Amino acid sequence: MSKVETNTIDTVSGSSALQIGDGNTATIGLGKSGDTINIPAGATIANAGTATGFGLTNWAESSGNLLATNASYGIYLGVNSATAANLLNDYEEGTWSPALSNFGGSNENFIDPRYTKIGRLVTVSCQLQIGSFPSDGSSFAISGLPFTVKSGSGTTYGTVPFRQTNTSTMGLTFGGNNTVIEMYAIPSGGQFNYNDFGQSKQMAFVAQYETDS
Amino acid sequence: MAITKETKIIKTEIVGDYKAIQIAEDIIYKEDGVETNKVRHRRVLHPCLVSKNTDTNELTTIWTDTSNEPQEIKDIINVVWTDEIKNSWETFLKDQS
Repeated sequence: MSKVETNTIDTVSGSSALQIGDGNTATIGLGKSGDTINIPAGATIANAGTATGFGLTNWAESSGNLLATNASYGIYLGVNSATAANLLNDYEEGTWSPALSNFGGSNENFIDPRYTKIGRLVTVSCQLQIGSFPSDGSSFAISGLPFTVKSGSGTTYGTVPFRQTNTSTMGLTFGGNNTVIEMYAIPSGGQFNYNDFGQSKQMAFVAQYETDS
Repeated sequence: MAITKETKIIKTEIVGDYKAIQIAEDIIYKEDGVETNKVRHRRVLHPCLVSKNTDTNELTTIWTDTSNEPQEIKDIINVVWTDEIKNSWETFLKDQS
């Protein structure tokens, strides 16, 4: 092994390329632990092969995906300075377990309840079928939302795009702090009960609400 | 070939003034002990719910049955769901009804 000690390696006159390593397959080492490799302003590192070990501090690669070392880290979108309103740092999809609150029957069936959370916005969906049941004037409420609805006295709303019920148009609301959906008639605003929904009926819904979680 | 399903609690959070317990679980499916699929499942526990009979306006409180919860959830419940919290949550729900 030979060693060359010098201050500068440069291209020869008339050449614009400097090649280090052009023979056997080799690992090219630059510096040692603790050294700083300076890339001057205006310079570019171009990679046409595979670069490993490069990247942002606190981020790694997992099966081709970016993976943060801390679950609170995210990505600023649409800005070139760190602005909290533009930080996307939460995404999750999964299933939830809806149930009818204080329902006198036992013939209900929830099909494919799923949710997606992007930032503070939660989207839930599922289909509900109810068979026969004894007369029940309890308010129609679906419990079991995957995240607590944001605090405050206001409500958020969703739609029921498909329904076969005893009452014509229906809408749904989410009460603050809770994890329950309640059904109301449109436009009267009257609160639904299970009798209003009817026996051997069904509906499907997609709804969105905000959470502080 | 043995297909098994297990539920693993990933995260628990205490949310809001009324101490809702927000639980994230992974449902893990295995074939001969090798994980083949994993699904995130979410649920939230409150001390009770209040149901209103819209014909009579009668309110009914239904306290949450936590007897089948894992011990780690029961331990959290025992700490955060004080009588004061339970009463204030029930009052909050009745005021909303």
